[in-house]
Amino acid sequence: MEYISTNEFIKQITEGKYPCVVLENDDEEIEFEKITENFKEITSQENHYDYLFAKQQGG
Amino acid sequence: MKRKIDNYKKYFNDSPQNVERLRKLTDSLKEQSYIFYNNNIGDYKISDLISPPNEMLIHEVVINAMIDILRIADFHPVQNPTRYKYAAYVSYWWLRMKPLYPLVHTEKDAGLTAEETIKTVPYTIMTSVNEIFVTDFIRATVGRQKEYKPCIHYKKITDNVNDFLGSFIYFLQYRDFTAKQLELVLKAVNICPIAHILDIHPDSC
Repeated sequence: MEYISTNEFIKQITEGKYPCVVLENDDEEIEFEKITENFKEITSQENHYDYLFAKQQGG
Repeated sequence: MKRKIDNYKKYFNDSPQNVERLRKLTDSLKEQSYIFYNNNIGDYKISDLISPPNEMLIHEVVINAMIDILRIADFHPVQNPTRYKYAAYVSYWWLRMKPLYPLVHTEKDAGLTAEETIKTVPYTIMTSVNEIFVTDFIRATVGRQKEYKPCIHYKKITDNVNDFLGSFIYFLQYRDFTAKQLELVLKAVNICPIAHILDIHPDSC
């Protein structure tokens, strides 16, 4: 395993090396209309509520 | 002790920006609650099981959440509240006001026997309806956008997602928590790879 410094890691993140890591600008005003659109989109997915029927893994 | 009306005047009387936030958040929550109300869970229409959203209580949720958020902003020099804050404080107050409630009052009204009640989907929906809605609201508020590609195998992450969501609703329903604690949980959940719990496009991997 390759070890890198925190600064190097952050640099790689900002360069897009890890696409699943998100750096966000928390100072932006929230767009509530976008949240409504997201809500509409996720809750319209056919399997959205499958988790209510799934067997829990315990704990 | 400061009355709520005093806080309301303090944060909204001289701030068109806060009034606009209040209006937009209220409109958004009302619209989301009606989208939810008109949706189905499995073979069940949610509107057959619960009353229409109580708009008066939704307004109360938003006022309480906004006053809490703006009070915090007095002590922290941030330009705008984060989406985690909105998700946490709205959820916290939603679960105290509970603007959604079951349409029926007895197992018999629901056409269920006492024995089968606890195992049925309508029972789960009716007893957890506010928690189910809040989970959707949180996912819509802090969820990822479609361009973020999951980095873990789909099947495994789907199992983990289902397990998390089931536990999360249980947590919202039965555990004690503060809005601050919930905010921290949401920030932690949104760290990769667990972030895909909230991925709004799981099909993309």
